[in-house]
Amino acid sequence: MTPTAAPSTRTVRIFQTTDMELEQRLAEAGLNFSLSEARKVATILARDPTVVEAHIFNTMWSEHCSYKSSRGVLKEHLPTDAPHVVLGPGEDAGVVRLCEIDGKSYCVAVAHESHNHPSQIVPNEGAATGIGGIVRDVYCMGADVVGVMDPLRFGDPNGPNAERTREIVHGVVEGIWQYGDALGVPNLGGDVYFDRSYDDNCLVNVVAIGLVEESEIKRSRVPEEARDVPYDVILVGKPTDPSGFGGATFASRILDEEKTLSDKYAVQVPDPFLKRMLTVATFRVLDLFRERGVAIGFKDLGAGGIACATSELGAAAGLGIRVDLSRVPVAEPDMTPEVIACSETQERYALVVPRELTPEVLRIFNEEFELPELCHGAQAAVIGEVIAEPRYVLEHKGEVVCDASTEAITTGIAYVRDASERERGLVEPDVPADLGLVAAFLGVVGSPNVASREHIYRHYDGEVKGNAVVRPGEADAGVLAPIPGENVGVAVSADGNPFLGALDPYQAGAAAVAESVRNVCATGAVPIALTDCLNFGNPEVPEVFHDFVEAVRGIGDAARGIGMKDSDEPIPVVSGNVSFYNQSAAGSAILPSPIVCCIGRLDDLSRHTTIGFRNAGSAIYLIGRRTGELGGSEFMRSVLGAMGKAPATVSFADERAMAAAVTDLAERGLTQACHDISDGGVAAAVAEMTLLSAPDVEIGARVDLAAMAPADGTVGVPEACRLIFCESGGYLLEIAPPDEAAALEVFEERRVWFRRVGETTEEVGIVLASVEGGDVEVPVDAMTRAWTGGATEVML
Amino acid sequence: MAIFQLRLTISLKIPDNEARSALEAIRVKMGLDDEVRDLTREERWELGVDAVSFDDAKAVVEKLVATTNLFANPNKHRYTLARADVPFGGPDPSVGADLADDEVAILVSDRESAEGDSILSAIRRLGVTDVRSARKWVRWRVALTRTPSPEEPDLLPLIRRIGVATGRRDGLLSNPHSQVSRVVLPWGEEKPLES
Amino acid sequence: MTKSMPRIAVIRFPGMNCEEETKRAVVDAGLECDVFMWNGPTSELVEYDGYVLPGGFSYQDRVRAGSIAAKDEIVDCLFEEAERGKPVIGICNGAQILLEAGMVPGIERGRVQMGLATNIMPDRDGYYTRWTHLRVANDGTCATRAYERGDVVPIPVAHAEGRFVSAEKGLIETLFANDQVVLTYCGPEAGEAREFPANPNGSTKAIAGISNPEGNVVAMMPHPERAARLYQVPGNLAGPWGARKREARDAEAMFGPGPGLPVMSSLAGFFGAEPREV
Repeated sequence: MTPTAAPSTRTVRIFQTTDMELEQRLAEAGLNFSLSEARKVATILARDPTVVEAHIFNTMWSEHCSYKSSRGVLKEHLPTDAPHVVLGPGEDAGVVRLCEIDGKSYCVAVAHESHNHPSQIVPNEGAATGIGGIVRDVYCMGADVVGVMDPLRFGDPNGPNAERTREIVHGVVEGIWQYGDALGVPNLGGDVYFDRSYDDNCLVNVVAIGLVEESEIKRSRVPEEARDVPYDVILVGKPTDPSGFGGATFASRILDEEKTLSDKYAVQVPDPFLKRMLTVATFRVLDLFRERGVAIGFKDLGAGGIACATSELGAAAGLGIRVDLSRVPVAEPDMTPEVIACSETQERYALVVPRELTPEVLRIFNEEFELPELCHGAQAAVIGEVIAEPRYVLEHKGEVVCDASTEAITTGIAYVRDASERERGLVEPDVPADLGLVAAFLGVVGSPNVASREHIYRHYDGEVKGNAVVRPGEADAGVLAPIPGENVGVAVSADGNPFLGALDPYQAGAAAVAESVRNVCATGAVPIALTDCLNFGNPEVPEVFHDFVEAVRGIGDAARGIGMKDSDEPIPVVSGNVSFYNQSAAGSAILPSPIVCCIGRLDDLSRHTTIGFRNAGSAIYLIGRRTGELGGSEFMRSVLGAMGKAPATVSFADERAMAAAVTDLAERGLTQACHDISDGGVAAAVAEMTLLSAPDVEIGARVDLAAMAPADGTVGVPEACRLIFCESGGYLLEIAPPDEAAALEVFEERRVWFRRVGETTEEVGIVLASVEGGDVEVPVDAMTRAWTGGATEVML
Repeated sequence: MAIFQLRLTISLKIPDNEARSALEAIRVKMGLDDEVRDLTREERWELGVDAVSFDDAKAVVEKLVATTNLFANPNKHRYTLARADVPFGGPDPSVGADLADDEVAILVSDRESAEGDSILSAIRRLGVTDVRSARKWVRWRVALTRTPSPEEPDLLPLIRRIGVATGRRDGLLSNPHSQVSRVVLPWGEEKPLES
Repeated sequence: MTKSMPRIAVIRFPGMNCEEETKRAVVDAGLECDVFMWNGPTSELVEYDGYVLPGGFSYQDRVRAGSIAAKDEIVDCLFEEAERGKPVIGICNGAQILLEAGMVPGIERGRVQMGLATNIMPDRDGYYTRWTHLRVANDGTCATRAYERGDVVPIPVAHAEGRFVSAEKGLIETLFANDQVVLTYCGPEAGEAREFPANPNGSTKAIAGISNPEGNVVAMMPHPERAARLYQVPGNLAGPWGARKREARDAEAMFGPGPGLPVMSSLAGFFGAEPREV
């Protein structure tokens, strides 16, 4: 093939090079795609790419942007559609209908991402820009962010890397509050796990939930009207600087200690203040568009910066874009065109607006909201225009530095990766017959993975916006009232037990769905959507890729198997993200970590339910049979010091039935308290229900293990452990005696396994009855100390 | 072993919006545009390090700064490390050594703050126990529109008008109720700013 | 001639982030309300009957929380309107601005007599969020007229600099003597909160809010707009409000008035209208 002429500017020579020459050229140019990818770029363009083009392809074809390893797997396994889905994966955020009030269709927009590598290198800024990025994904749908959530995974705070781990924990939490509190988005909490596999790769996932009227949803595409009238491309926000240049490719490779310093430069600098002003001003501009009845395109700048955002805006409509990089406001002189085009500077949006409105848009940002006065160099500026021909053209100082079809730039590539199951060689110890039950109970409740997260969430502002109904520490999920003055709730929970990932990634995926669904249902809300963030090691390693495929399969099966309440539809997976290369240079990968977020709807806020026992003298019901497996459980790890072998498996039918039952109970006002059973099993659940019980009275609990067991009579210590520490799915419910009959009807109707396992008592503390050798009493003081102090110590 | 006092000075490489806002407030809102030309800001940590020599103490702090994110992020900060034998706050001409003839430095620190303890515990978390004390100051470098002389009677009142918040148009950099402030004059003289 | 309903301006300084819910709470109390831009014309600002400075991070807390905003031209206008007797309530960052502007405690007019210093908390620093109990120490101000002296009111705090301090000798005692201490942190049963977390930031004498001598300018750290309706109250809160939330069984109850609404009703009462029954 004969190369055609490239634009008259610097090029990367690919045609007529040997592999060795090409490798050297790519390294010199700071490009890290493979030789075959580089050659493919040249083939697509039918010439050598310019330096700018090469960088654009390098970014767009990174794993982070292209999903080149994962796309096929996701498509095959995940259900993404349901009648109430407005926009599924593919946009910056997924959108589902929430409710209709006075003829207005209100929707929830949700996005879920990771910011893992940056947080490992620069914890504060990495976590802060994680929040900064995820809220942009929701804002750019035209939605207002009503809540954010952070699932976090850290290394072992007492392991060989304890010091660094603790610094990361501190920095990440600080970054989250410093950004989120200043921006003014309520933080609904999240979850936290500690494990040695995260020593070299912490996970900072971020979820943002937004509210938008269906008619006001903005799309990341040039509107059709641009075929008839001139449209400008406006860039607004922080002046472009070199920070975050190469961020997407940085996220798509293994962290290497030797590169730590240079990697720090790939982490952007967060500015929540500018984001706040940008957001308020943007909503003012969106109002203007609504008043004038004009269609626009709106996209946030994330991975790949200007190049990625503007090319996708054009490609989505089959139109072209011309941008003059010399018109981009920059923070430093002499920035090269590839840095201007691809840097991932925070706090920027691209708007595609009719030219006749351009002056008014610039006036609002630059004069009414004084962006240039508030932050040095911040402004809205016209940087280009929409062109009819579907080409992506970048100019710089009068030179064309990129000229390719928008399709070529945005189509991406795909790989079929090898997958092979890993040898796990797992063994499981027996539970010793002489194990001290009280010590085990306290060990589980006080484990950093189970204990109270109060020390962390007291940093988070969960109440800004005034929409908080249920805060962290009150229930299994956060509940908010997203529509001012309206009696509709949204419940959100994000979950994913990484230890299941070590044993069985399929179960890890399925259990992440099941747990997030349970947590939402435990507040009385009905699940309406799922998102996922899939955190894994190097996908080029067949065992890692197999883990990934299995986890995705588990998520898909659970989303279908549990399904929407009283409907044949799956719970749709509307948004998500894949984060590979969470692996240290030494080769150790993180545990397979699928993290799932469930969004639920509560039709009547007054029917929400919380964890804490309300009264002494109530009945305690267990739904969900204890299946007895202890593999991967908190008990197995913190008490027996092993990972174990067989985890409790998820029964989709049981989860579906239980979800229906607990939400029915809540709807009918029959629930005094409800808590899902997951980490730490029944033991942790009943401990938390006691510790979080109503403030003005003293309440304890008596739990009869014989009532939970398959057979009558007292149970020995090993069996007791299999009953109270097994983490198979279920719920504990407090039911007031007058309501028991009605509750039983619901259990029967929904065909759930249930037992009356005890009652709440005026004696504080927990009594485990029907244990061989007599009742076992867990003293309240020790339990309180273990639970309140277990995770706090890590933060001090 | 002895305690060596070190002075870690951190400044921004990226535009300092805080200094810019402060300058705008002083020049435009407080009406001192005839008096003040420019304003820059540095963070200054006074660290007491237990070590056998100054060089050892310096190595401890240098390692902390370079390998952790506690004090500086190379994306946006640069830093210098210097010796401060005299306990901070005492007469120390080196504090003003970098000042031009028309510049004064105003140093501000919280009277009581958890910040020092917090950084000490963060340092201890990293397994470093040699850092024994930490106090943060903000050092504002104020460029005047003229070169002041030691004989000028109006100089200190002017600096107070810039530095010590007393009203809507007077004083910005320090709130005298929650903070302490000191001034360093171009000729090296240092004094407390609260009257 | 009938006087039209009093109009309140919620001032948006750049970086504030509680404007909308604050406005909602003011409207819930029966007043008209607009969000007013910091750079808006003062000729329009003076047309309003009262002002609320909401929470957030004005000017990114540059230099010191509230210090840059305190120098804004619009604050001169607020100062003059307050001198005419109009009510001004500063909440959280708004309170920090009022202190930095010398509008409270205002014993010496316009002089900065206090500061809001960084929280002092055992084993932690930075931002702290929690529902606190407050004791109404003065029920005569524009923010507390709808309460009664001695009322215990749960309202949440969320800040990193909320510790009222003064280096002026005897000033704190004078504030108490003048009835300028409006709100103090307390336990659920009204006892003074000396310890963290009941006193969430180490504030001198557990002071949570103060006023000028006339009581028409109030600076308070807690966020009443986050406690304006019952649904906002945590069900696990000690005392009657938590119990009310737990027992709420319909929308009417959930959206009924919360413990913080009377702050806004007090504003309404300031204009002669009857504060709403709460």
